[in-house]
Amino acid sequence: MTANPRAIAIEAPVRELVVCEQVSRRLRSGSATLTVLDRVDLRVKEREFVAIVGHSGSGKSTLLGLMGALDEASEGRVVIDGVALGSLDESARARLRREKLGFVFQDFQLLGNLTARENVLLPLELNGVPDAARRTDQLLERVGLGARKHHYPSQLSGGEQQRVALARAFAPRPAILLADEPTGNLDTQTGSGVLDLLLELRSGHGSTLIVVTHDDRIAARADRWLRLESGRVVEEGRS
Amino acid sequence: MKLYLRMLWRELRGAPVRALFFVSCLSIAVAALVTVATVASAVEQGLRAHARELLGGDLSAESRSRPLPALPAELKDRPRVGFAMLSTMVRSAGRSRLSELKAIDSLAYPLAGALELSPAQPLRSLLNDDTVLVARELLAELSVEVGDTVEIGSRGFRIAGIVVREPDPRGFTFTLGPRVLMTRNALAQTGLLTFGSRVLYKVVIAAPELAESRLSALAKQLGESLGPHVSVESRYEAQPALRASFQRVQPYLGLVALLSLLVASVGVAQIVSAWLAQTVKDTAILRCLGMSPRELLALYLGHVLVLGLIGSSIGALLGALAPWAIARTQPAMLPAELLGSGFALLPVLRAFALGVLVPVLFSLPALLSIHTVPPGRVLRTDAEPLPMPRRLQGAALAACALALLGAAYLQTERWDVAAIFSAGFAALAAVLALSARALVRALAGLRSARLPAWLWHGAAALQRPGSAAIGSMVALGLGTTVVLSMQLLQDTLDRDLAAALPRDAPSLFLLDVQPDQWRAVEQLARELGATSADSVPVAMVRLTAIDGATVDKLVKARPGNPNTRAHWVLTREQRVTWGATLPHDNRLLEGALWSRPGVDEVSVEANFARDLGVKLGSVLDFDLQGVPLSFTVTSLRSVEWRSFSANFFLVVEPGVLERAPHVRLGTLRIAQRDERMLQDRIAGTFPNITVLRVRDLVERALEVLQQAALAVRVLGGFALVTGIAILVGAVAASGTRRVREAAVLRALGVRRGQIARLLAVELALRGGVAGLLGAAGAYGLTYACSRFVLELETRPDWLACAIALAVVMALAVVGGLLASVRALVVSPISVLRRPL
Repeated sequence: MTANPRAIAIEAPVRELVVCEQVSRRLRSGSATLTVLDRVDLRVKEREFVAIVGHSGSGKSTLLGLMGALDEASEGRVVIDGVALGSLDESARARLRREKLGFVFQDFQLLGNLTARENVLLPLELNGVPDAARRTDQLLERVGLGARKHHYPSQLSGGEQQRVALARAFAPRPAILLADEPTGNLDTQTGSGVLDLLLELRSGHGSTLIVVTHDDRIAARADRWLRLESGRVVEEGRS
Repeated sequence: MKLYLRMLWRELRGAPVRALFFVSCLSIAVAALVTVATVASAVEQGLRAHARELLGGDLSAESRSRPLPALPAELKDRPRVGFAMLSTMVRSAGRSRLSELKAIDSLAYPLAGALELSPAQPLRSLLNDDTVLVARELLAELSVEVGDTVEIGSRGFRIAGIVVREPDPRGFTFTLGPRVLMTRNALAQTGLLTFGSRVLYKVVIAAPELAESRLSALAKQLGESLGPHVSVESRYEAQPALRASFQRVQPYLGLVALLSLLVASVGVAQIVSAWLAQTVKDTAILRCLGMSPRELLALYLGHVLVLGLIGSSIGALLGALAPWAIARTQPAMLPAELLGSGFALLPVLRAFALGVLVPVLFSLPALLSIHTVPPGRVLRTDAEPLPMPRRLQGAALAACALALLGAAYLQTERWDVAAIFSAGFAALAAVLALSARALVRALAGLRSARLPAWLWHGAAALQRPGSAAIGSMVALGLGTTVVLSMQLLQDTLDRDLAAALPRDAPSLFLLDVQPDQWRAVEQLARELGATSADSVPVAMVRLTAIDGATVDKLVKARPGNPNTRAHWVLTREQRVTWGATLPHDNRLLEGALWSRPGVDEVSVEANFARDLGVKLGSVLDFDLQGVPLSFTVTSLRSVEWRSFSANFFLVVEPGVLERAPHVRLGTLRIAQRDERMLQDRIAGTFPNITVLRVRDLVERALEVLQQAALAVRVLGGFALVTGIAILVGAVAASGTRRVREAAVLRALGVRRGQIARLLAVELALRGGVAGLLGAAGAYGLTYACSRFVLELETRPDWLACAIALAVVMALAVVGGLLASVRALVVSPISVLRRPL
C-alpha cells in the first residue's frame, strides 16, 4: 500500500530553520557599552518569508548579521538549521554561510574586479557545483542580464547590479536568504521590479526569506513581520 | 586549486599596475642577487675551465728571492719553462717607468694557452737575448716605438714587438707596471740579479696527460721535496689565490645584493598591506560568501607567491645574463677570460628561491590582517575588526626573522656575520620606521600652522589610512642609505688616503739600494731638491722554527693552503731591519726594547705576532743565506701603516746583522712636481734601483678600491631603484582612492593642475622624508664604520646628502605622478557614479 504523500506533508512538522533565543548584542563605543539588540526572540520556519522592520538604528541589520553568522551574539542563542552558531569556529561559520545562506545587501556588495557572470559563478565554484557555468548563465538570463553578463559592476546601473546580487545569492540554492534593505538604494520603480524578482526567485528556489527593511510595502508582502525599536521586538504581525 | 588559480587571475587582471610594480621590485632585487651569484659562479667555472692557460702549464713551483732548488728527477725530462720575474725601472731617453719583467728560459713559452704578439710572429722569431717584447702601455709612457731601444738595468734592448695578450697574467687587478718579456740570458746581462733583488723564481711544467689524482700527488710530493718556502700549484687547484679573493669578496657583495631584496621585501609587504587595506570590502564579501580566513589567506598568499615567482623569474633571467653584460661593458672590472662558458643552475636557483620566499614571508604579518576583517562589514562599514590570533602573529614575525637570518646565512655561509647583518638591518629598518612615523606626525601637525593649503593637504595625505606611506618611505630610505653610505664611505677612504700623503708620506721608495750606493743616491736626491732622504737596512731571512717547532711542521698543523695568511706569515721571505730605536710611528705595546743583555732580541709587530703565534719570550729561528740565527721576542709593537713610512714586521736589535748581506730601503721626500724628474734621474744613474712613486701606488690602490666600490655601489643602486619602484607602487596601489579623490576635487572646481600640484607635494614630502632618513642613516652608518672599523675621522658631506635628498625627491615626484596619471585624466562623472 502506498502512503498518501499529501497526508505526510500535512502531518510532518515544519522545521524551524532560524531560531533566535534571548539574543543580545552589545557594542563598545569608547568607554560606553551600547546595547544594539536586547533579548530578541525569533523563530523562522522553512520557506517562510519574514520581514524585520524598524527605523535606522533599531538593530534590524544587526539581527540579520547574527542570523547570517556574520557577527556573534553577546548573549543568547542563534540556531541555523539545527546548528547553534555559538559553538562554531570561524571556519565552520564560513562553511555554514557557504552551504546554507544567501545574502542580498542594500549596496549590492559585488566584487568590482569580477564581471557579473563571475560574481554569480563564484559561490557555485566555492561550493564545487559541477554545472556551475550553466546554472549561472540560466540565472543571469532569468534576471534579465544575459546580454550584460560580461560587464563589470561599474558598467551596470544600480538596478542591474542588484539583479546580479540576487542571482549570486540564489545561485547556490541557499536554504535561507537574508536580505538587508534590498531596494534601499533604488528608485521606487526599480525597487519594485527587484522585489518582484526576489520573491519570484525565492518561490522558485523554495528558500526561507528574511528581509530587513524600513519599507512597509515589502513588509506587507511578507508572511509575517516584526518591528524592532531600540533593539527590542515591539510589535509582530501577519500580513 | 583550479578555483584558486581562477581567482588569482581575476585579482591580477583587476589590478595590473599593482602587479607590475610588485613584479618590478622583485625583478630588480632578484637580478642583483642572481648577478652576484652568477658572477661568482662564472668566475669559478672560468678559472677552472682556463686553469691550464692561467697557470701556463700543469704544475708550477715558485720561490721568492731565492732560485728554486733542483726539481726531482721524474720531472726533469718534462717540457718546462723557467721564469724570473721582478719589478724594475725601464728607461729611455731620460724617462723611466716601473715595469714588470718576465724573463723566460725557454722559447717554448707558453706551455699552455696562446701568447698574442704584434707583429703576429712566433715568439722565437722576435725574442732573443738582445730584444724585449713590451706592453703597448710602456711605449706610450716612454715615448718609444717598436724598433727603439730601452735600458733595463745596465744594458739596452731593442723592442722587437708588443705583448698584446699573455695567457698567464699575474694578478687581474693590481700590477705595478706594464709587462716586459725577455729571456733569462738577457736578464742575467742586466745586472739586476744581485743580492737582495726581489725576484720571483718560477718553473712551469707540462703534464697534460696526468689525471687529477696523479697530478695532485705529484704536486704534493714536489711541495714536500722543495720545502715550505716554495709554493707549488697544479692546474686542478685553478688559481687558488684568485679564487680565494673572489670567495672572500662574494659574501659581502652577496649581502649588499641581499639588501636590495630586503628593501624589496619591506616594500612588497607594504604594497600587500595597502592592497589589503583597499580590499577590506572585497575580503568581507568573500567571507560573507563562505570563504574562511584560512582559505582567504591561502588565496592572497598564493597571489603574492605567483607575483613573487614571476618577478623572481624575470630577475633571475636578467641576473643570469649579467656576468657577460658586465664583462662586455666593464672589462676592467670583470675580464671576459675569467668567465666560464657554462651556466650554473644552483646559485641561480638559490637566489630565485630567496627572491620568492623572503618577500612572501615578509608579507605574512600584513596578510594575517585578513583575520581581522569582520564579515559583518558588508552590513556596517564601522563593524568592529576581529582580534588578530596572537599565535599566528608571533609565528609570522618569527618567520620574518628566520627569513632574514636564513637569507643572510645563505649569502655568507657564516652564522656570526648573518646574525650581525640581520640585527643591523632590523635595527636600521626599525629606526627608519620610527623616525618616519615621527616625521609624518610632525608634518601632519602643520595643519594647525598657517601654511598654504596645498602644503598641509600634501602633509595630511601621508597620514591617510592605506597610504602605505611609512613602509614605502622606509623602503626608499633603506635604498638611499645603502647607496649613499657606499658613496660617503668611499669618499672618506679617498680623502684619508689622499690627505695622508702630503703630510706624512715619502714621495719615493727606493728598493734594492746596495749599501755602498746610498751615499751617492742621497747626494743626488738632495741636489735635485729632495727635502728628506732616509734609508734603513734590510736583510732577507727565512723563518725556520718557532720555539723549536719547524716551519714545515707548523704549516702542516695549520688549516688552509699556501695562499692563506696563516701559511704566508710562516713561509714568506721575511724582511728584517735593525736599529737602536723604533720609527716614530711605532708604539711599544708589550715588553721593552733591547732590554735583555746576552740575548739577540727581536721586536714583532703585534698583529703579525698574533698570526705567527708568538708572544714575549718566544724564540724565532731564521736562515740567512744558510747561516742560522736565533732571536728572542722581547717586545711587541703597533705600527701606523697608513703613514706610508718604511716599516717592518720584524725589527732586530743593532749589532747582530750589520755584517750580513743586506740592501737598503730608501725613502725620499720631494715636491710633487719634481717626483717624476727625480725618479727618472735616479733610474738613469742607478739602474739596479727600483723606484716606486708612492702617489702612483696610492692612485693604483684607489683605482682598485674605486672599482670594488663601483661594484658595491651598482649593487646598492639596485636597492635604491627598488625603493623608488616601491614608492611608486605604493602610490599606484592607492590608485582607486586617488582617482575618486581627484574626481571629487574636480567636481568641486579644483583644476587638474592644482590636483597635480597637491599630489606632487605629497610625493615630494614622501621622497623628502625618505631621502632625509636615508641620508641620516647613511651618515650614521658611515660614521660608525669609519670610526669603529676603519678608525678614520669622518665629517658630514652635506653636499652629497643634499644631492641624494634632491634626487630621491625628484624620482619620487616623477615616478608617483606617472603612476597617478589616471587620477588626473579620468572623467569625474564616470568615477562618482560608481558606488563606494
